[in-house]
Amino acid sequence: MIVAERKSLDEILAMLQGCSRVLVVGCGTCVTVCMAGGEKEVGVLASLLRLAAQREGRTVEIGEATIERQCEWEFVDKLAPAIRGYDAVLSMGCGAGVQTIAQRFGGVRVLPALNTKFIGIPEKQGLWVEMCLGCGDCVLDRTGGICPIARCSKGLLNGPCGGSQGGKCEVSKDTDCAWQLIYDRLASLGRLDLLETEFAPKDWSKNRDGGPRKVLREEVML
Amino acid sequence: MLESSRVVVVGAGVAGMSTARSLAAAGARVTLIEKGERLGGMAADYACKGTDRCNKCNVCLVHELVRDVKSRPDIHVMTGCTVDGAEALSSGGYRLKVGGREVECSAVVLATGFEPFDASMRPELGYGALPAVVSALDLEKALRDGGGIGEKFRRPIGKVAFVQCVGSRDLQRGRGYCSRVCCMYSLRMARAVRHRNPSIETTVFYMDFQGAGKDPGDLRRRAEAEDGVRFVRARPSEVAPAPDGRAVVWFEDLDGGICRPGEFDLVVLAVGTGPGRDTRTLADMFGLGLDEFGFFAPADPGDEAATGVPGVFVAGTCRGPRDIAESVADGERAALAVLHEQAARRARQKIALSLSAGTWPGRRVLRGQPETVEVSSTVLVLGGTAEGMEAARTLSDLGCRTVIVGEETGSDGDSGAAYSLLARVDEDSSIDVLAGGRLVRLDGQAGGFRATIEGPGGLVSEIGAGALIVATGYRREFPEAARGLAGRACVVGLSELSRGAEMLPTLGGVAGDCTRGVKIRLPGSMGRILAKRAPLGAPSPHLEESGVPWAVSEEHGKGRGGRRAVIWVGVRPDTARAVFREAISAALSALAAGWEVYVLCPEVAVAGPGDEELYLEARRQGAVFVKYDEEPEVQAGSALRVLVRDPCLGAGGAAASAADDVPGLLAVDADVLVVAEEAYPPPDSPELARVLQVNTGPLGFFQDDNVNFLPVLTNRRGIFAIGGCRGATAVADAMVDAHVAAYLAARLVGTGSLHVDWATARVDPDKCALCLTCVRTCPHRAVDVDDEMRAARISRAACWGCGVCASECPGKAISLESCSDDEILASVAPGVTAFCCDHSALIAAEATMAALPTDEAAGLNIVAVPCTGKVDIIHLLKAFERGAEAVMVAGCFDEGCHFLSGNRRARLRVGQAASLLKAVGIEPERVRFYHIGPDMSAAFLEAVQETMQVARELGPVVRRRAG
Repeated sequence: MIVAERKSLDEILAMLQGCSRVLVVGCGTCVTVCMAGGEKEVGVLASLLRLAAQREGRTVEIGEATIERQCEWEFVDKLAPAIRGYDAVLSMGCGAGVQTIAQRFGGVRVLPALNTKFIGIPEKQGLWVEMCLGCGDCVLDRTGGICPIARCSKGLLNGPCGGSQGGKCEVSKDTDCAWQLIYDRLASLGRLDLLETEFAPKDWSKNRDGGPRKVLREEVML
Repeated sequence: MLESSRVVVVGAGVAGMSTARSLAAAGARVTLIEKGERLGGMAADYACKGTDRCNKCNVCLVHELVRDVKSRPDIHVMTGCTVDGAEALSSGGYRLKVGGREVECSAVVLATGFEPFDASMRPELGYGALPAVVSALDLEKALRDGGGIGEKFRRPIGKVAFVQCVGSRDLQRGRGYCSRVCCMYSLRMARAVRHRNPSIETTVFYMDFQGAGKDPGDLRRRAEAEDGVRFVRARPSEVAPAPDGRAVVWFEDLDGGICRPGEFDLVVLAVGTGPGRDTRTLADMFGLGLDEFGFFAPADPGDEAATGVPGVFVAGTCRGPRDIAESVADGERAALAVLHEQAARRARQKIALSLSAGTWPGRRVLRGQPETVEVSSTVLVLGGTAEGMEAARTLSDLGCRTVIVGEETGSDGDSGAAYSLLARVDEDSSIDVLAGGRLVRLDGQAGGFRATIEGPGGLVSEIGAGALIVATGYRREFPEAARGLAGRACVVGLSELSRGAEMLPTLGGVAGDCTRGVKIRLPGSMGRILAKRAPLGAPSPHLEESGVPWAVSEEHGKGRGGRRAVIWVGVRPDTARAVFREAISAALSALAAGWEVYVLCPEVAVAGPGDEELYLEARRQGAVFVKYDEEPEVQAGSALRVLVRDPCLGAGGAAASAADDVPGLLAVDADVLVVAEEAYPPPDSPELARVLQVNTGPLGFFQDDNVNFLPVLTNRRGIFAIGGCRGATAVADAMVDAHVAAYLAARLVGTGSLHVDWATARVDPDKCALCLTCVRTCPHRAVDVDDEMRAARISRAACWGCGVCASECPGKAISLESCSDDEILASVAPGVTAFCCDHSALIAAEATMAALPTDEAAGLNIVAVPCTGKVDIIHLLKAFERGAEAVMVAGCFDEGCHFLSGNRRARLRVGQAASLLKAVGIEPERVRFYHIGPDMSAAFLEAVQETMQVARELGPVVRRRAG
């Protein structure tokens, strides 16, 4: 899933300067699951915005709404009646959600309440870790199901580097060395032979070359 | 079936209330008679001894019991009356004279409690004469009333002494038994005193530490390390007056063997438990037997609630010392015994529980939509231990089919008791045994578990069960210090000895005629002390004081046939409580076979019924007990020699170098070393816990270390842990577990349907994002994923109604019946809002509100929640939005939450709310968390006033712009 994290309240309050009617919009998919922007977080943020205004003696109207997915036109459409009369929409969706709402409702400022962080998993409740960079050219078949692009600090394809110490990355003792993990996993699978083939330099053209990427499937198009 | 028959319970202390509650839950009509004016008995005066976390004193259980009993319409309470006469009826019941009225009943349960030892009976300790000397009960009351103990006792207090065994283990006063509870209550009080006033120094003078609970050794270590509680092994002989109203405790210092004075500001006498005043009268009235100390004695040791007189049962401390949790369990067991007899009286083999569907003690505040759920009345027992088989047998009596999975052997924790049960289990048609089976998977929830059992040869079968009882026992292994000795020819495990029919004689072949001796290094003139250490009643071989470094006592050995055994009980306090009796029994057997016996141990554990007598008997017969404070050294070469320093025999352990220079060192040449094994969970326990999704506690045993789960509950409804699997347990205690668990399981599922009327959490599947937060955070594992609905599903039978999931759900897809966000927020108003846990702070609040000045009370909004875990961060913030100036959340102590983690989650949320408020410019101290026990009305009042003070100082959150 996409993992996000709420921006600091200072930052949010600064971007809302001058807005007295704000609709806080949550998303019921990834950011609900990663506990950053679901209905509950919408309630918490809305409440804090009202308290902040009360504190300063300002009058504000803070609305709350949560839709299934902010990245789908049909769900975003459902905001249409609610959005009228607001100076700004504060989206608690990922970057895709913010942009979808902004594109759909041209006349209103749409602001991000979250920082979209990465594609990852909850390693345990309350701790999310990055697993995939969306590089567009998956190599997990050769690395024992452990991604060196996302999980090696340097994104090395032929690791490890000299900074691998006791299974940990030199960047932080809390970070596993991805290449150590890869080695251990391949060893347990009896496939250390995979390491004998060097990776050729990565073809980054499948990542950001040519601007924003698209996936086109004619057979499912209407 | 019990509708027409009333049961009278005499005594509304812990055991009486527990019996009454339990009988009422099973469908009986109950009359509860109490001599005093209020419910709760002695324990109602005790204080919660929580410090920063729960210290497992169990006192909160009393206050909950009181409220449970008061809230039940099917329990008729009569206070201020006694039973003045009893007439047996032909129907088998009794007509009782109670306060001038007549009450007919089918059975009587006597739960008349105990009488604390009157400390003035030991005038040398100064109770009643010296202002500094108080009893432990006085200190309980002082702690309960809150504030500093100095103010309470009207004197500055810097040093406090606890004197143990006042009226316990006292042969001179006919009290040759251990009161079982004093060591732990003194330890907890010492911690509580230190916690409330860190400058106070506390010293405990004790004989032997009688640990109880999950890991008493750890509690003691923490008391010593964190709170500086000093333990001194001594039995003070006198407490004398000192200047300024202080007192001098005279005690024998083992380090040097002389009497020393210690000056204290407060001396707390840990008074023991004696038989209640009414015991004799009631015994005469009903024709019951008393034991030599005056407690009610069981007619049949296997059925301790029964008295041998039909229709009359006993429960709680009136039949011997026990702690609060044990008294609660005893009440459950007495209720079971009553039901059992009533079924037998109607010539029914099986006990039919109340004709309506089974119920579960739901919570008072919150009721949910009533629903009757079909359940399986089969109960799965994991483990063929004695306790497992006893549970199965009891369940069979209660009309449940039982399947025992596991080997048909006794667990390591029981000595052969299993074998006598086997026959009864074998011939019972409602008990099936899957020998050699292993639980590999468990699906479903309480009432409808589906257990996958892998049998021998990989055969897999699925069994449907309404409830599970885990009875996998405990494993015994040599303690760390003795591990290297395992397998040596002259070394044997205590449990092997207990199980082997031949016992010691078979080991005699090691060395037929021991001519070696016991050597003792005598420092200076130690004869005086040695005289004390001599076995009772036997001429001491060690008395000869001589100039030679070693006094050789070969005569001792020769006199006894030349064979000498050393029994080493170097185990943790929790294990010691379970196995010490076994060690003494082994000693007695060896003595009877003509052996000379040395028992080496750090403490003598004699808290079990009859244990002190057995211990004294072993000493009378000549067993030498050495209470060491450094581990013995075993030299097991071609000959066996055990070196141990007896602190009673000399000073200077620290200066010890070579063995011959150590005063008080005994070198015991022995034929056999018997090592008492330490208790550990069986090796597959972690895996089983994972499959069951049941929590383990200290030392890896099943069950959380949380008093609300005692004796047999686990974090999951419908799964019970009994006997050795939840910690080292003496056989008698394991049997209590078996009965209580069988009874609770039968009450839950025994009728085939379960009446759910308590509030449970409900999922709105449309809003559920399947984030699994509820699945992960539910303390009771009551949430599954409904694959068809693609949403979380909460089992109504399994849900405890804490609301933790509702407050954690990021999609607000879960709500708790009768406690929705709207219902909670409706109680929020300007002023101070206090979210109070129904189980602790709310009970304290009820007593506090009366004491609060009217104007203050007007500004306080108390919001009752089933658990502070139900308090959502949104509730905290919305309270401020709605004009609250300060918000407090008050719940149980850490490790004392009824729902395990609710209070911890609440505290995290309060911390989060504080930092969020700070981020928008609002003072974080406006939101506060307090730990409040149910009896801590004084502390609650303080908390409220502190919060109100914050509100007054900071004023309203809203700042109106000038002009």
